[in-house]
Amino acid sequence: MTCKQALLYQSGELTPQEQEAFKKHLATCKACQAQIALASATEQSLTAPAAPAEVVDRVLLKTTRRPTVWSRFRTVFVGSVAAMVALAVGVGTYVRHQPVTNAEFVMYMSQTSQNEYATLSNDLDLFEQMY
Amino acid sequence: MSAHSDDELVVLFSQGQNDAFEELLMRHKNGLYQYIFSLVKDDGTAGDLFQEVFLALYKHAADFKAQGKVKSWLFLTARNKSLNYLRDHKSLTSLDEQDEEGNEFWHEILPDGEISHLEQLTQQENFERIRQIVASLPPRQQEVLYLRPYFSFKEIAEMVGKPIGTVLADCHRGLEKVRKILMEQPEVEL
Repeated sequence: MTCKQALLYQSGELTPQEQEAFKKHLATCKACQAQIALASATEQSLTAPAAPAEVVDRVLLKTTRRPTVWSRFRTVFVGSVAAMVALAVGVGTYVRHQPVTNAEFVMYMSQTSQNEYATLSNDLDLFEQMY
Repeated sequence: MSAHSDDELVVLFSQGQNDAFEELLMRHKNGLYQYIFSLVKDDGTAGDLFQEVFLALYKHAADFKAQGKVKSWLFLTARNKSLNYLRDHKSLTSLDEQDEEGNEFWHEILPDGEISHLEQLTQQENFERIRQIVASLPPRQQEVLYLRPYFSFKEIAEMVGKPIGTVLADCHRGLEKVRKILMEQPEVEL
């Protein structure tokens, strides 16, 4: 067993018998120990940092999260409905807070007065009947 | 992460489960992006090629046969696309260039004291320095070292189409250069 097997030993690619034989060699060969330590350290140091998020997002938008025709239509439809509701609420609020004209006020008051007169008249009739 | 193998995820995805494709993407995105970047050395290009690899998987998942080779397929596709890009842009630095430096076994060239010093330099605080050194190596050695965290030497040999002895020699030479530079210039260069 020679130092040639150091990298295969470190990667776990020796047969069980080769592995046992190399283990015995490794116990006395400082150079192989150092090479294996450096190979392991290099592997660990090259463990990949995260791929950029925007790169991953681009893949998703072109594959599993690609907007469908319905999802685009739904966005437009919901947006249009929301806009119309907002417009209706806005117009209603505007109309409700407009000051009344004089004519509208007079008509309202006269109508109110007539209603009160009718109510009073009915009450008096009832009173006469009772007494 | 689920307990499904890569093969199982491809089958699930070809049956309509988009979650399975997304899991494959999340599982391999970091290593694959780093590998592509190590070949093309440009963020924008690496992003484009990364996208192409996964789009190819998305389109051809139904054609996959379950042979435990999904990861190899991803990296090999990435390799081919990267080499094609470099060839088309005339910036291909050959992955076939021979480099005979660094063939000696370490016990032939290193005194004991230097070996002990080297072991100290393989601690975690020097990982950034090691990364910098690997990024400066010749392409052939760099490629093997970047693939090692994800593949055995046998798998790397199949992927790059070279004998396993050649791959081992490239790795050995690469590590020898890392050792030399680390011993001579251990500090991190900012």
